Amino acid sequence: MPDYLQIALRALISYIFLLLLTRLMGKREISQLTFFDYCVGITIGSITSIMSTETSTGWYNILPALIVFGLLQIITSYLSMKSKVFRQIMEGKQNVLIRNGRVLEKNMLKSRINTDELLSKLRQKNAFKIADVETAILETDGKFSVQLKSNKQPITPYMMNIKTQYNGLPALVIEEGKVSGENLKNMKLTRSWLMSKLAEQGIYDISNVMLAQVDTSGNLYMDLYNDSDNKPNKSQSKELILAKLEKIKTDLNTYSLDTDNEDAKKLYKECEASTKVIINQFKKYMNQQS
Amino acid sequence: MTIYSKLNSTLNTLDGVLADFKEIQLETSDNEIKKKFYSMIKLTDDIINKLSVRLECIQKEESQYKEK
Repeated sequence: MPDYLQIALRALISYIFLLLLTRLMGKREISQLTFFDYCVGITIGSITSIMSTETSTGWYNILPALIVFGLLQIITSYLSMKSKVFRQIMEGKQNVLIRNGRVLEKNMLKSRINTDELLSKLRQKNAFKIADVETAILETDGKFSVQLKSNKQPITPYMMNIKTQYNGLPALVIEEGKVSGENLKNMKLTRSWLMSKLAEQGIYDISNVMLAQVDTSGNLYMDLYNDSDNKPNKSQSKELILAKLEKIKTDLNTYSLDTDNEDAKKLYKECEASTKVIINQFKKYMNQQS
Repeated sequence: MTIYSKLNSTLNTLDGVLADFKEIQLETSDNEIKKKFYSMIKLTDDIINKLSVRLECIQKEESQYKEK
């Protein structure tokens, strides 16, 4: 077969092998790269390109090099998991450069970091004053971690003794027009609940919804495909408003019956009466419109 | 669901209705209609305020209950 076709085929094969290999190697290799990992990455890339273009030998002769490098990475990361000593040999140790607010010159010498670099790294972590820094560590992947002194850290509700409402991971319940049953189940919600929430906004067709996300407080955010559809036509929304008002009236009635508190009962009954007035006024308005 | 979350949900619906009223009032050019909605809006706002106060009470009670 002609050369260019042969190389195209080899390139395809190399691409597939590279993909298989990297999927096997997993995400960890990409996130926490020591300098060594980085070099191995480049090497694997190199081998793949040679596998595609070096026609003096078959691709099957170069493939072993690719497999060996990939396998070794997998094996060493597995061994690093099991043995701390092995891990230190492969990755080195983190180096504490600032402890208790004091710069450790000996450690800086060990990592060959000069003061300019130190200050620059601190600034990148938003620490412009060394006086604000409690701890600074040079990690094995070359990145800096900075811990600010406790009185320089931003205030959290915990510090102010403020109770917060639970806020967990939101779930994407509709994606590209399709409902995700699993995500709904994870939030302990049902399809019928979702449909009624959508109906509240005047949406009756799920395929029109591009995204819908629910948070742990039960709030629904949705985005439609046709953005002009976000405003349902006026006559439909009037019925909706009336339906909402009727529901509010019923809810208030239920609350008044459920509570034992006399003041609360009175409050709910008053609100229910007010709601009745609003409903009558709104009905008059609706009759005049049609 | 607790009474807190039910009342919260009712309040959210009320907020929605209030917004709908205001929108209709804004879009209409008929002054008679504008006047009609003025009273509906005031009543709705009143209910929202009363229920919000009650909701805060419930929240305090429920957090005390949780602490026990």
